[in-house]
Amino acid sequence: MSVVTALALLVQLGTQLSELARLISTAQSEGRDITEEELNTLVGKDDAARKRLQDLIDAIPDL
Amino acid sequence: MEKIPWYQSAIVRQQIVMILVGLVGVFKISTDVDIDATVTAVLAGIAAVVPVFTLVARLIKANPPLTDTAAANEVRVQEELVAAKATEVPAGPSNEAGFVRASMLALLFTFGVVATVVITPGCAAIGVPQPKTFDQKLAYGYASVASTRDAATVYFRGELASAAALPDAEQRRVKEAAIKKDAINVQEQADNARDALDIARSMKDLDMQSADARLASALQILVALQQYLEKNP
Repeated sequence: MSVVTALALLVQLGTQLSELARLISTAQSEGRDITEEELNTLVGKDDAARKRLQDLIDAIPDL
Repeated sequence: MEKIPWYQSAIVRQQIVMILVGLVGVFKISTDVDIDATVTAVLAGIAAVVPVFTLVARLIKANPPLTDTAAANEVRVQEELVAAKATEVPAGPSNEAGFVRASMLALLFTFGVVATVVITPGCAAIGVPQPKTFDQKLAYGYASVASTRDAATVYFRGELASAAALPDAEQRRVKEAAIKKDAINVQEQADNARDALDIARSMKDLDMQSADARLASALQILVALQQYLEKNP
């Protein structure tokens, strides 16, 4: 794996962390909880991440 | 004397990660005016600055060995680099024993974030508010599963590239099969964590105590998955 890919992942993770922090901070400052829509957005991101990993698995030939 | 490109240096990679981790802490904490947070921000700032100096030193200064063992290793590494150049076999970070590879750094960063945010009460240390309500913990859980999958994808992609470089076709096939089995296992464990989160979410309006138990179960799966990946670099 190239270092460029690793750095891209780190930036992505940093962005995810920042988004999550903003989500929680906004909810707490507005005195409300996380909404169902916001949870659905996170679920969608996990679905996309799952597909990326599954595509990688499917691309590996069986022994 | 032979040299390797800067991006193949495990030390440089490690320092870049340190800088990124430090910057995350500094930029997120500095938005709050709070004495404790300010002190933490100063420490985080130091943690970000020190690796910068180390990185600059690694890039522009000579790095003579400090011990006889290191000197002997230096000679060995130079011999291996010359041999690698002659046979066109890639040589790089593996010559710097004691440092993790880029893919493992990414994993460590991910799980460091997961462990800090989800499991410990130290979220404020990296500028993330501590989850207080059930839904906030649920949000952290979903984000953690997604991050785990993304980190695993990058890690296994790196392992596949490493396998592709093997000269023997049989060895290559065996390693690819092992990587596939490993990746499937990670995917299944992440699915288990996700299922537990989904169940917890569906139960929260009916039985909060059971939902809490499911949520705790999901986080335990994530911790187990973290330990599994850390022990199988």
